[in-house]
Amino acid sequence: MAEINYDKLLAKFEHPIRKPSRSWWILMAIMLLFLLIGVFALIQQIVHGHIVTGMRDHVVWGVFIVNFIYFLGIGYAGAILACVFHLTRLRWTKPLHRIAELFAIIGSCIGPIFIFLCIGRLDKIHYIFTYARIQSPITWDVIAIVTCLILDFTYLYIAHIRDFAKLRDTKVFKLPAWKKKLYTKLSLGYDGRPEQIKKLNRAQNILAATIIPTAIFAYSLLGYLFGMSLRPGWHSTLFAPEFVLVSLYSGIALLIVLMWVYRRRYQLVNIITDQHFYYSGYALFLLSAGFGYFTFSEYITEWYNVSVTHGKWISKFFDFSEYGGMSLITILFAIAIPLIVLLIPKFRSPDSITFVSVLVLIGLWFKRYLIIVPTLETPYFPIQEIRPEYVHYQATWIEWALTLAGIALGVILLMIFNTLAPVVPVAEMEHEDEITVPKPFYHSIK
Amino acid sequence: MVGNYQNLFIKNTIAIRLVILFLVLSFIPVFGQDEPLRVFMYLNYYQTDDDQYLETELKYRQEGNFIQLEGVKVDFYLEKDSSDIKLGSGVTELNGKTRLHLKDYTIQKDSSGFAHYYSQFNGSDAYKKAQKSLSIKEIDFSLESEIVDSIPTLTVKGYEKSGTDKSPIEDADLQIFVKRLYSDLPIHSGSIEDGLFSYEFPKDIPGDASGDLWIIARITDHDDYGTVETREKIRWGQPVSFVLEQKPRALWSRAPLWILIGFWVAFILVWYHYFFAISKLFGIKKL
Repeated sequence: MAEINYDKLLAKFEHPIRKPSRSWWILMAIMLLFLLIGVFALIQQIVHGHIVTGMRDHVVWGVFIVNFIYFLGIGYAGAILACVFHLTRLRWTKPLHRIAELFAIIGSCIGPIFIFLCIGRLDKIHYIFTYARIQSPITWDVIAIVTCLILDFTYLYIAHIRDFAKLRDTKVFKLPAWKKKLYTKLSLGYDGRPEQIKKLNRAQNILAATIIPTAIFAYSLLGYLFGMSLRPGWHSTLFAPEFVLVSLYSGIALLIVLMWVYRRRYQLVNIITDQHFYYSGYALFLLSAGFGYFTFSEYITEWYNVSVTHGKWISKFFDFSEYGGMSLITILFAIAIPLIVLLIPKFRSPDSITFVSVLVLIGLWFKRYLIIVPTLETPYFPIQEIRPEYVHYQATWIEWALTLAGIALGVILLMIFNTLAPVVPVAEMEHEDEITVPKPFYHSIK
Repeated sequence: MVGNYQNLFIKNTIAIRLVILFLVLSFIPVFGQDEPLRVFMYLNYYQTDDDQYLETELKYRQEGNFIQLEGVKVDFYLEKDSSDIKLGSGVTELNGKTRLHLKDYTIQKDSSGFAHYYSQFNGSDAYKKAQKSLSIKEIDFSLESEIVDSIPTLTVKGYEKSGTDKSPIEDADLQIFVKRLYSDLPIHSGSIEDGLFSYEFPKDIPGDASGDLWIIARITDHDDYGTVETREKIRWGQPVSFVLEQKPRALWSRAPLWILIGFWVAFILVWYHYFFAISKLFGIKKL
């Protein structure tokens, strides 16, 4: 059984923790360029108003709200995964904790930015609080999102304390003085004494146990926001559980993609092993089957006993001049291909599982688009005598630029977090090794 | 292990390539040469008490739907025996329509009193040329109100104009409307005969606070006259008081108790645990 040398493991993260590498700066420059294009688009939107977007009187939500739901779903999934991994003490998941924690916080930060981009009168945003009505799902959602964000940030910090202490004391590489000072402050004087370990574990356990129901409820609230509206396709009791399942599905997919990226970038083949991919692949398989089941239930129920407006709405998903193509992509990317590739052992490998995960992430973005736009284009009151662009939503370059800027911001935040701490919780893994036998399986793989 | 991992990768490259090929094939667009689209043109004439104008509308057909053609130039002409006179041009708006007001022009008519107009779109790379013509005879159209035996009675008069001569309209369908907030409310249909139409106006139509009503008589889309209307403000309506009544909220003016209890219990539980966890962190620092 091979032992892991944790100093050597920490040394793998010298760049970017001590000093970011050249490739880090190049990637950062590219992402900043996308962000700048987004800032330019935002200035256009502020100067000219929302007329520069594809949103109009009837289709009042577009790509921005799709991104809001998408990023928030990823964020909540990250939080739930990190906390479930922690509370269940699944030892093989240890190297994945940090990745889940990171995209939890990034998704929860970027999602709400897109809701601000949707709002026409940002100068009246404080009305959400000053005129809040506790019986309104919007109020519940605002409170839930803010609460989750605070809980996630605190959990992320608590989960980092051991690594901050390790970096403070490390002699593996020489850190700049300012960074040493920063780690000294952030580590709260932690040096691994039993009382400190006990208190830290307790804080982390309590917070993890609080985050799981809060995140599930917060994302369900988004589902309720739609489900409580009387619109074709939205007014469904399935929405909240489907939202949670889709959130976890996209979260697992992103986890696998990031596992693949970090494994290659930091040569972590013996830490993030093939087995990690297979186990995550099983989860992906179950969630794709669940998602397929929800999608089938949704369509068959709406299609079978249909009213005029619902008929119009559902027919758009099978009409290739409307949303037939997008529906097909969703079904192929998020249901058919994952099920085929993950079901047949011959097709299963870390690369194929990662490839499928990328398809899932794309397919689930389209799924969110299909939830929002076709419904808004099919109101109960017929739309008459109106300009065509009011009836059919078409996203403009402003919305695409801001979408890319959102993704770029996510990558930038991830890269900045990577300069602060290793992408696997080195100190926590080392601590577990010291107190437990047998060793986790990542020890047995070279 | 690395070797094993590479074998797995090689085995799966065929599957991955097949999936990529399938995806690439799904996205290959179908190329076709675009031909100019046929344009449908409509031309109408409108006459009101203080305006006369021609209005043209352009549409094209795409995937079975008519779509208004916006932002193209349309020329308006008056036909004459020897040569046509260009009256002016307009650019179609978002609704595919543009107008030419005729009040400032001296319109020459033929011996029967008809003016012959046509509108023309010269076409482009994307759209075919289109033309539409229309012959219109100008009329005098007026509305008079009087109380006859305590019954409010409307009289509509219509005369064809031919130079300085006037002759009564023989027969034309007309409608009486009352102006409402968004559109005109039709209240009666009839026909004008020998230049006259008479109608006993109902007494129960709501007016404004003073009982004033805008009453409209309109001939719509007539072959010879186009759309002609006249309107008059008359105090024949029922005065309506517009005192706004404060109404309670339709949905839960106050939050139900179970929501309040549920919300505060969840809120307190979450934040209690949060601050409990934070207190443990302070404990670490103190040790």
